[in-house]
Amino acid sequence: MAEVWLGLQRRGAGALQRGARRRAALWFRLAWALALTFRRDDPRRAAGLALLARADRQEARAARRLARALALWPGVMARLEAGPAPQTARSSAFHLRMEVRHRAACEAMARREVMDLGRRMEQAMRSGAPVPPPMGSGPLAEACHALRAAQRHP
Amino acid sequence: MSGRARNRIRQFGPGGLSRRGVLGTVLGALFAPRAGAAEGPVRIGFLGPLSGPVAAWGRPGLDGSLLWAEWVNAAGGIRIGGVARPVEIVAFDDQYDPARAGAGARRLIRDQGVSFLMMLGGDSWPGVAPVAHETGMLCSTLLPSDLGPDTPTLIAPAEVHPIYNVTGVDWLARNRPDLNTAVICAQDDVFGLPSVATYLAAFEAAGIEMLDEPLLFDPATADFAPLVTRMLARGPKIVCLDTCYPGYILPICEQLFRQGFRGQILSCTLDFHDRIQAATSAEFLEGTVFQFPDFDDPALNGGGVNFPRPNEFYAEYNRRHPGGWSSVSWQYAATLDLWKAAAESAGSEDPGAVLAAMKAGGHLAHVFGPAEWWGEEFFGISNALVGNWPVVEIAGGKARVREFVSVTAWYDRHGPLLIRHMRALGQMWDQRG
Repeated sequence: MAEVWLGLQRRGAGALQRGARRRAALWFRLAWALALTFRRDDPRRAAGLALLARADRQEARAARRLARALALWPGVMARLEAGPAPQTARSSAFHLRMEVRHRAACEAMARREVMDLGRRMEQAMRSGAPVPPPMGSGPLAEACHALRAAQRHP
Repeated sequence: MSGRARNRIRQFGPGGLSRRGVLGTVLGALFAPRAGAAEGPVRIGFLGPLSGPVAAWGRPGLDGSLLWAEWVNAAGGIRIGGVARPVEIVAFDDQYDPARAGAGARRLIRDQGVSFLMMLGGDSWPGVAPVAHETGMLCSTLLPSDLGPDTPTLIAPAEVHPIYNVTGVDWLARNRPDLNTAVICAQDDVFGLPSVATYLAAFEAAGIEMLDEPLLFDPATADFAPLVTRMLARGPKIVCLDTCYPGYILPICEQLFRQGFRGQILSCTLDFHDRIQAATSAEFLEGTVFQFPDFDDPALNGGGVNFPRPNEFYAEYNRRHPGGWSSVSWQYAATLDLWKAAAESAGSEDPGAVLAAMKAGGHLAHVFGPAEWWGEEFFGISNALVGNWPVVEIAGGKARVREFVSVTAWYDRHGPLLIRHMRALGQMWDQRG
């Protein structure tokens, strides 16, 4: 399901790049239909809605969609704050020992990173500001990839 | 996952051993086929954290092992004594708990008849050590600090941290000889020090002057501006980030960028370098040297690398587990490859015979090239496989292997220097307690 959602978003981003807004809107709408099965605080739901707004040729409707996307985002941030911290180390197995010894510090660092990413994604939805690459996998990473794909194809 | 692969996997835990499980363990010990049985699949145990807070150091390792097994089986299996047999990975979730790891080791050896036990090591090893001692089971760890004089059947065949860090300094000295001054920072704990000692020895060997004492910071540090200001005060040409935890690397690099450093960055790891670049700039990160290649690097397909189709392996792994790749994804698979070669050479899966085949001649092909069994001075036993290690550079935004440099050749020239620095920081095996 996640792969399909991201695939649709990437197709939409590609269509936007080519200036095919109607086609982009079609792909984004399909992705949105899929996103309705996600939780309201799933970042893919808000990100998908924001991208659909970008492809929308009716300004008033696009504004309403973006407003709805931004209204969903505080729930996303709350979920990020309460959820498991992402893995930030992936090279040296030696870092495992540091994680175990300094669990609180490592989690705090990872939490800061993921919350910062969340704030930047909100800015990306709001104003098209650049958003950095995500860490690892999961809904936040997929939503981030979708936003980045649209940024590469303005 | 294909049906074929699924048939070759068994997984236990995390629920621990029930009374029935314990009974099964006892009966298994009495009646289960012993390791070395010459029929059916060759079973290899995977003992690691598959759930709990450090599952990220286990699950990608199991996924890599399963992919390795699937490829080996698709190619006809393991050929032992003229008979091709499928390989089966049997996993147990130890949750990084010594007691659970000990129970899991018993279960894998006695009930499942595994011929080799791959572990993450670390905190789980004390639980497994008595079982390994009692059964003579050949075990592997990813953490060489588990090695000691009383661990004759334990090997560290993948990443022998921190000795390989000398290769980055050596490469810089040969390729950028104008970089003749450095500073180093690390977190202030027992885990930062072995790497600091290694870098100090490597810098001294290369004739690179240290401009300051190693700057050790509190692991709880969140604001790295003062640390970076101090590091840059004397105008170093190289800033070395030791084996800092990746969570520190990003904010330190951000500070280096903001405070105007444009010299050479050297680090053991550079995880998520695309995120560091996004937080700084492509120009800032260009030329940064570190020690862990991305497995889509074409250099890994060259001669001397002993890993099955590394670029394809990486691509297939990412297709199945998007975003899940980590070092353990390849380290266990590389270990399996070493074991397979030794078992085929020995014509037996018997743990003692395989270990003897691995040790024959003192040399073996490590994942990154020729290697030898090493570590008598550092671990009290030469059961760490050390050889070539890659020096990686950020070039055009990508991580690219520049050279595979021999760690042992460096050690042959500068061993006493490394021992002196290690001893000065209390990091030799007989000092660690």
